[in-house]
Amino acid sequence: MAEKVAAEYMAENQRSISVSEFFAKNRHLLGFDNPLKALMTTIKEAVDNSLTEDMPLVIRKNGYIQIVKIGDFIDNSIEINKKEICLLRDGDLEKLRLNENVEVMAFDPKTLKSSFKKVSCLYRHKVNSDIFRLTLESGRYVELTPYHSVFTFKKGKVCSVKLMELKDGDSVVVPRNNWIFQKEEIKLNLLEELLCLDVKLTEKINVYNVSNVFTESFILQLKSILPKEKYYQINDFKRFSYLPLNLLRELKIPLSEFDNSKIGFSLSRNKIPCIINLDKNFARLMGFYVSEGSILDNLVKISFSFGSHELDIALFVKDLAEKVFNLDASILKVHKSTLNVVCYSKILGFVMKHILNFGIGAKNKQISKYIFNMNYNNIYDFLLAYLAGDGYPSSEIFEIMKSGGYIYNLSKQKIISATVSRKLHEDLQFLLSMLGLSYSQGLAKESKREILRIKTVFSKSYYLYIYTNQSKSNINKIPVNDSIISVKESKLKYSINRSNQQNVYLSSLQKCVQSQLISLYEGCDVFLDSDLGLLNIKSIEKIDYKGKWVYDISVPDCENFLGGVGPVYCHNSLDAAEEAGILPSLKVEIHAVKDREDRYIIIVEDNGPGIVKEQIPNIFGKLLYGSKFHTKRQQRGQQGIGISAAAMYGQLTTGKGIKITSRISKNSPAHYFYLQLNTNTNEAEIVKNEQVEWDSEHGIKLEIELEAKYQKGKKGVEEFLKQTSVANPHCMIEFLNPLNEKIIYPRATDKLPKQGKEIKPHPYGIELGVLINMLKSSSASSISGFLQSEFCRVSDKVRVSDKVAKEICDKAGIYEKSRPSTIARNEVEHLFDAIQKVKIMAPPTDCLSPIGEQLLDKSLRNEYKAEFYTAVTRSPVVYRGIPFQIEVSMCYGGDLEKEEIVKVVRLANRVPLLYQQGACSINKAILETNWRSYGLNQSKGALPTGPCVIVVHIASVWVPFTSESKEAIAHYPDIIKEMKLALQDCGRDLAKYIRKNVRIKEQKERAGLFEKYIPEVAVAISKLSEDDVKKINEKLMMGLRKNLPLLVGISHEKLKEEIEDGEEKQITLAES
Amino acid sequence: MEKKNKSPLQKAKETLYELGKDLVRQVNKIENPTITLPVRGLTNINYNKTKGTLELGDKMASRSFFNLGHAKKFMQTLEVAAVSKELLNIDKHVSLRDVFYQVKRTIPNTNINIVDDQVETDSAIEDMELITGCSREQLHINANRSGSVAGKVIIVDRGDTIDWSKMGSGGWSIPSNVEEIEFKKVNTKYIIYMEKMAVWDRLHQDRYWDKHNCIIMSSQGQTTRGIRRLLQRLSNEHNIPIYVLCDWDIYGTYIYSVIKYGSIALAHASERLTIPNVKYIGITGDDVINYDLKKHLIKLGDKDLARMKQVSDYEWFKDNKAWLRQFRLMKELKGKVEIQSLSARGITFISDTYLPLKIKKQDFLE
Repeated sequence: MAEKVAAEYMAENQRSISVSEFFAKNRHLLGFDNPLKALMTTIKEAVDNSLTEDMPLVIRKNGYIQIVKIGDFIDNSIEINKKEICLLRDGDLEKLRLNENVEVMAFDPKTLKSSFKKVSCLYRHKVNSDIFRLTLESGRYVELTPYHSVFTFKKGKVCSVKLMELKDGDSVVVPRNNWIFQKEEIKLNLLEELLCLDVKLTEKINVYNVSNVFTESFILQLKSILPKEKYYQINDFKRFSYLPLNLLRELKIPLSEFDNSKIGFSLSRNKIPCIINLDKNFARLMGFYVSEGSILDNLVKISFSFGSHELDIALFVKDLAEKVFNLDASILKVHKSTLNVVCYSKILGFVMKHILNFGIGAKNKQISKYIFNMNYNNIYDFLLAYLAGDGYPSSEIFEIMKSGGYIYNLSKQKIISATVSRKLHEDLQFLLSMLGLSYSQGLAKESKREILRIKTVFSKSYYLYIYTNQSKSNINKIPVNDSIISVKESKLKYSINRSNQQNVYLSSLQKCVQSQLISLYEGCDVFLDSDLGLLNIKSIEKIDYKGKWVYDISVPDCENFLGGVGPVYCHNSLDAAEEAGILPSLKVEIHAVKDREDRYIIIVEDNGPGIVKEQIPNIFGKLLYGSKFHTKRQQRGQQGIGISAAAMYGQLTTGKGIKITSRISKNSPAHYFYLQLNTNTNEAEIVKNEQVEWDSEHGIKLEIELEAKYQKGKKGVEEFLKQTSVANPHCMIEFLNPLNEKIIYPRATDKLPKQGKEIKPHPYGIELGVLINMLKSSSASSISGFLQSEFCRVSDKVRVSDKVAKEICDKAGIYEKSRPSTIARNEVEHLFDAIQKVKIMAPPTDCLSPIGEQLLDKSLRNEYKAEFYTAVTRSPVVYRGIPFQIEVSMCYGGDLEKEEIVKVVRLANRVPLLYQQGACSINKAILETNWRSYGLNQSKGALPTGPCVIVVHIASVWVPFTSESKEAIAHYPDIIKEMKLALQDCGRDLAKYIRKNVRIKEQKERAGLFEKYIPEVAVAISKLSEDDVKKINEKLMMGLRKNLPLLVGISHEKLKEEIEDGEEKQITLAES
Repeated sequence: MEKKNKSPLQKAKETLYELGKDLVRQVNKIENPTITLPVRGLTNINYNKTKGTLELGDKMASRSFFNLGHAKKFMQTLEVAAVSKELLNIDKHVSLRDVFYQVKRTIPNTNINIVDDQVETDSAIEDMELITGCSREQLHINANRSGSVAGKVIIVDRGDTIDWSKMGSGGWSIPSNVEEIEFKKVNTKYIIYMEKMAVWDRLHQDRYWDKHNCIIMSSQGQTTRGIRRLLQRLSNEHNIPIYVLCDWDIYGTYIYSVIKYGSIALAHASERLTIPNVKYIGITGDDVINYDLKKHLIKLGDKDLARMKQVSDYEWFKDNKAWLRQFRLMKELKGKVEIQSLSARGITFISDTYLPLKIKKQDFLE
């Protein structure tokens, strides 16, 4: 009886222990076993939490306007920067973050004003869908995937819309106003450009009229360059006042010295000035060239052909050639109907071909970048000159050009021009768009016609129609329905309704608004005042696209760019959030609590995306909350207890809760929470919750007070943050220690790490218990379906999915269609065994996000001052269905401690591990590597000694830690093997360096001996010669200064060569 | 006498002064101070068949200060030159060892010694000879004395008159510098130079020189410069034939070779040291056979054979049939024999029988 009572009594005292209660009692499991560690763990958890999200960035420099093919441009950029490409979506998408200076035309989404904006990223992705051509009413078109967006105008706002959502009749945003920003006239220095060309090309080009440069010192310089037997040439140069162009490549003389010089081919006539003004005359001449000019293959002759009735134009062109290039052109009547203006100048032909680049034959004509970079008037003149040649009515256009008039002065309604060069056609459209001129276009197919009884073949040509009355162009119209809310005046209302008017001219709309006859949608006024116009869609048709890739450009803040044949604004189709352009930065502060030695307040602040208000109590106030446990994706940090454990510890030791401020965007307010953790229920109690002012646009700030001990040095916070910085080169960390000292750990890169893909568990890695649970909770209707949906590599990417699932079921002796929930316990075991027996493809490894060799190297350089750095990233490896990847980097020498045991930095998924190094497999891998052969000292069974830091990083979807406090990595043989291989790789580099370094050092030391020898030698010489010691000493020191750099320099090079040759012979510098 | 002595001293002084001046000129021009000197070593040695001596070739090497490989040697050479200059100034002679200690010191504030080993100064001294064209002795640096002489000769050295026949049991010990010796009276038919001091002692005790009216001379091992010079002077100035008595082994042969043709290391001084008409008296392979010394043969080692190969390939031996025969005999008998082995035939066999017989028969090798 008494026993029963006791049992009941005891039972009464039994109750379920919540998770938090358990951990409160066993806090050592979480890494809170002593005050020192408690501080570290708290910071560690807080830091982890801030970095799990990825954020991009913006870069900018300066540029030159050019019309390029997006494919060429992106392909080239990607080709050049191959190493920096980010492969996304299994390599289907390539992303290149542009460091150089590239801008594109983009409009500001708020003001709708266009300007050049820096490009941050280039993308190309494999064609994975049909490609459509979107043609607008003027004939402009862009070719897009259905997912690509352009912009349309809806209810007063410009918004992006996917191609597949567009309907015929919708309007698309295009530039309306001119977008020329160049004001100044530029001078083109041909010398500069020529010197950029290949040496061989410019071999025979000379610079003339150079008598001004022949000074004494210049001749000396010449002599230092020319071989002795060619000294005689100098007299020639001087006498005939010229210099071979290629000599300028070696001479140190400012190019401005040649501003008044001329260039020409040797022994050829008709030189041209070095400096060309890109002025009106140049623009006109080039306009005529593009329309009527041609260059002989051997470049010696440039001719412009005109009809025999166009003598006035011919004379004008002759005059232009004189003005621009100082050339005397002649007019030849080559045919009864044709006049030619001919310039014999090989140099001009050369410059036209290689520098100005307007194209040589009719089919290859294009507009040089120099034209696009001229000011408005000059571009206009270029266009008029071009039209005077290729356009109709040409003579009238010519008259307008001569008088400095504009297109609207023309008597005709429109100008027609035709060209056979597609590139020129596209260039012209951009040019027209730049000038703000509206046009439409057409295409004439190849045809045979008979004119005046002569059969003529007309090749495929492109037409442009430029309207002389620009204001009546469709581009100036805007849809009525999307602009006008209500019409206040009844007459107007009637007229609009009656005529069923769909579009209205912007100018008339403006008038109506001014007279307050109508009211417009909000934002419509911005559009009226903008640089944008609208064109209706004419057609959307599928095209036969042969390219491998489609391309995209990212422009931060705008996310649009101008492209297409006849420019159209395109939307960057990739998630703009990815381009938010903010790099993570982190602030960590530790404040000592007044009068309490053992208490500290830790404040950690980041600029991440913040956490939505509703989730804050759960994330920070509840243990074991979150989804991290079941996702198989490498995330920074640990699949761990997280920050709430730190909050709990703080609460246990100080009674104070955790304070959180979070803001998710600048448009939403910041929320402040003060939470207490109820360990009985594992629930957060919200003590305080209010909206607060916060200067950060987004991010989280945590504040925890706890009992702790602050320590500097090896195991301290500084070291942890330093290692964190090594592991996260894209992150900047600011640290304020209790002594009020601020330490900054800078970024090593502006590139964000590639985010690991999320993958499902691989069948090989699953444990029996987990399998049982998964079966129970699966919603799949059949066991085969279960296998395919819950695991990776049973379904995705593998066509034989059914086969694999069936094979597993067959091996397990389970009917493949049976319900997962009905599988008996022993059958599960069969299933489990069967999985191990069936051959299944290894899991994909793109779920991993290694730091990368370059960045490891770079961030190590930031944090440790050493002489030598190396890094190795191994290829991903799969172990028991879990992919992992090992990286090792090392630095050596410099400020590092010479006699100490090497410093080991252990990183797991970018988080430094600080404790239990001895129990960690990283330690084991280092121990088992023979460092003596790599030039470090190592006693048996110990870590090596030497001025060296070894960083080992394991990236994996699941890092096998030895305990829940995540301080050491378990000894899996495959992991240790990989680590050793990486260590050996680095070791070899190190050994190479050490060998080389020791020798260089020796050489240097020996070189330093000179200084010591000099006084002795001076005394000896003075004894012999009976001269003054001091003077000899002085002169010898001068000699040393003169000789030493050379001595040491030579010795280094020699040394390097030698080491590369693998030879070990003694170095002698004797070469007198 | 005053005049005669002063001139080489003056010459040496001037040469060193010129060397210094030349360097100062280079230094002032901020050039890389450089000394040129003939290359030493086998590559730059020629055998002059007509003269029958080794000569230094005309390959020149330069030694520059601003040159990692040369700097230290350059400094050592100049240090030695400076020491020599001082010696000349105070007109004192010192030994090679003295020079080493004069030069040896640590450069202030470093742990670098100007020289660590006497080999370095010795080599620098030899270089100085090449650079200045003055002999070591002219630079007032002497080697250690090591050699004795006895015979019916009277000389004057530093004002002392010395009779080589009245020098007691040790004989007159030959100084390093014999330039200033004046031969007063030379009454002798020939000179026997021997490799072994012990043999000299034997002959001296037997008063061989008295009986046969000759000079006996010896040094321990390699012939020093002083002895070579002395021999040469006696040979040149008094036309006395010289016979060399060595062990019958390759090293003995080489001792003879050095006296007759000159050495590689001192090829530059050949003219003052070599005695082309010197003759080899013994021991020969024939002696071994004739006097039944076979049982005293010492087995040849690898080193001996290797050296024999080298020596027999020397230009001055390779066509010398008599010598090649000796080498062949050595190889055939697989052994070598010391001079003292003659004692097996009786202690005074060498002075009573062996030498007189050889000279009587004129049984020499050349």
